[in-house]
Amino acid sequence: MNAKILFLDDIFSPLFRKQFPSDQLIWDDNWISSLEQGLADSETKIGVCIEFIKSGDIDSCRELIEKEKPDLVLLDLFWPEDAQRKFGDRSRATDISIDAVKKIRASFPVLPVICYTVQPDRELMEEAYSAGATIFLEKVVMALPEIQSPLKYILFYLLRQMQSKAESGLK
Amino acid sequence: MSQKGHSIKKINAGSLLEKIPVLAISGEESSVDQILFEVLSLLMEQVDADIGQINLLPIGGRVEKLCIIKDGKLWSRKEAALNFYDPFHGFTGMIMSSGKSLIVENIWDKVIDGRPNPFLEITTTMSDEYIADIKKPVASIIILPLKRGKDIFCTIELSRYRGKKSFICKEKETLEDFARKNGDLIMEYVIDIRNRIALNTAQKKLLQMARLIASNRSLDYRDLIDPYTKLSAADIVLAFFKTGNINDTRYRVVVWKGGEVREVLLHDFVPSGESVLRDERDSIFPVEGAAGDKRLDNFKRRIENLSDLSKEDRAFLLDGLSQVKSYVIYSLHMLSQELGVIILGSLRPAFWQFLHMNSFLALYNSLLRSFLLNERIIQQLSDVSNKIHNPGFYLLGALKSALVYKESPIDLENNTAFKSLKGIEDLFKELHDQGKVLRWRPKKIYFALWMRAFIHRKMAQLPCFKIDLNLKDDRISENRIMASDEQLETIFENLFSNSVRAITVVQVKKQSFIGKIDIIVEQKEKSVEVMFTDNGEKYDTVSGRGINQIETEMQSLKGEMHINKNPYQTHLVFPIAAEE
Repeated sequence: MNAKILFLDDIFSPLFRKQFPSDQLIWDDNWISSLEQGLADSETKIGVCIEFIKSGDIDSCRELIEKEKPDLVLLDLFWPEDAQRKFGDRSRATDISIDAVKKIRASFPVLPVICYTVQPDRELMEEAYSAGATIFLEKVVMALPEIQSPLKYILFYLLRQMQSKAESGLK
Repeated sequence: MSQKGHSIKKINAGSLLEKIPVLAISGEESSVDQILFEVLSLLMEQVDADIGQINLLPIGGRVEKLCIIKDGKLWSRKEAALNFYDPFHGFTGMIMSSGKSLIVENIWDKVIDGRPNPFLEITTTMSDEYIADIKKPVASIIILPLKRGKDIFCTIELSRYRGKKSFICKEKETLEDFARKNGDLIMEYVIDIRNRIALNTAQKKLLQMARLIASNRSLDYRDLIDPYTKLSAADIVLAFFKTGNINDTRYRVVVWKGGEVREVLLHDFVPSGESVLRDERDSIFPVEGAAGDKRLDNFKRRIENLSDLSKEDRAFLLDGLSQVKSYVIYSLHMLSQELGVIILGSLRPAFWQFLHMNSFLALYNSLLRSFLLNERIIQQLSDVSNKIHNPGFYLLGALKSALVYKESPIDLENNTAFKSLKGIEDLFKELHDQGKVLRWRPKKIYFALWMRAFIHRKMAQLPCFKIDLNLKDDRISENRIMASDEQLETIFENLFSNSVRAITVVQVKKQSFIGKIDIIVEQKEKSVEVMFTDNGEKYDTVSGRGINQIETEMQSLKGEMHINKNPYQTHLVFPIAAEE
């Protein structure tokens, strides 16, 4: 089975990347690479060949979904530079992604959305679920593929749920 | 106005003194115009003048022509402002140096008292419209100074059309008698009312600013400079606000010029070594300067060369700067934070003593600095938190990962580097959480209780108004809405201020009119609804921003706002918060 995952993270946003020197960005890139490595064996382990569509353009999330038709969205919740641009206030970093979840949910009611962030708190978790998140997860920042690897089983679970919903719809 | 063969009587100021306090009740800008109209009309009638003018020149306040009456009517101000008044030249210059009133038979004579006519020397600096409408038709004038001790703080100028008899000394003496006995008292009162109104404006701006900061909302910088334009003698105000985080070199420049205001963002604007935008150890403020000095020329050059300015913004800035003949700069820096500066500019040379801030404006200025510092601290704290979030935690994660690869899990337990990383992680978590402390959060508010307390406060502020709060259902008291005090205050302060304006429209016409504001609160299944009504009349709005602000806040509260016309009512719907 093939699965397309739209990975929305400010790490991919030029707005974010131009704020940091390359010797600081390397830690983010390092983490992304460990995540990709952790999921690289998905085909053999869970029978799903994963294709990532990486984007830092959260404003266009709806258009991206329409264009790419992903099976699942993996959404980072912390977007300080976009919050600065939009509200003039970096501390509203999560308002950007919560709004995006609402927007996605309004147009794509059944598309699974995984909300993903470093050091979350309960308040943010509640906000994400009320906005329409399917699953809320804590990002583990250790750049070890072994640590990122279990994510594929969550992806698999969500894809299966979708599949069975689609099948029951067909019946 | 016909010229009468009248006998000269003493001016009876009694009726004027009775009228003025009634006119002052509304506390609106229009009440000052009405008072001045009454004062000037009385004097004009007394000496049969065709045109009258009241000019104000207090040090550290606006220097302007406050009021001009022509043929019994207020002279319409086609231009945005009338502050082209020059206290050092012309006939006023003569009065300022002699301290005495002046009578001139014909202002267009080339020679007056054996000297060149000082008025003819300055006509080119005056507005064409003013010369054509106010000066060209007249010949004879009387100018009357009003003093505080020895200082002249106001002049009253009365003129007669050409072809009429000239003013005579007896008429001047009658006016002098009025000035001695009542004139300064009345004008002091007018200035006090103006200051009170201006202070109210400044206070409203500060409250609004406090609310915006308390709700993590961005400030409207154009609004912040309003008090500088109303409470100072500046013709041009330039405000520089440093924006962004500590390392940013972006400035918001707000320029106010004759009623037009524009905000321009200067990206990568690194202040030069001697710039007032730097808070150096030896910086001293306020700084006085003049057209053609190094500071102004440097700035103009930089504006000309900045690549990312739009054509319109550049032209607006350069036009403003080239008109400035003298200026005073006040700093907004505080606690080693370079926050910006305020530049009060004048179209008149060497105008420094009038440009300095009066006590009200100085108070506003110092509070503005504190607010800006507050905003900067919030910004910096959130920057720290953000940096810890990313790249801080990612960096830590990478270091821990590297150690995991290098050491066996058993050895890691006692690994000194790993223990230190754990310590850094705990520290990071603590700092990260502290950085998020200054954050706005909505609360569950008992709406009826909040409303009652707010209305009681308004009743104390507006004792002349009848304010009724009607809670239609006892259950309302049990219901809460998700909001913050600041949001509710913004909504209801704006509604009240609109109502006060609408009621003042009627009160101006009928002084005995009692203003009435009714607030009905009703309970619906999932919402609390408010109907806000007053007995005022329609008025012209300058920007309609009050309503926009209410709409924005209602949207963020997930509520609704509807305006009903005939009668004019504001209908607000607040969703009730779910109880846990």
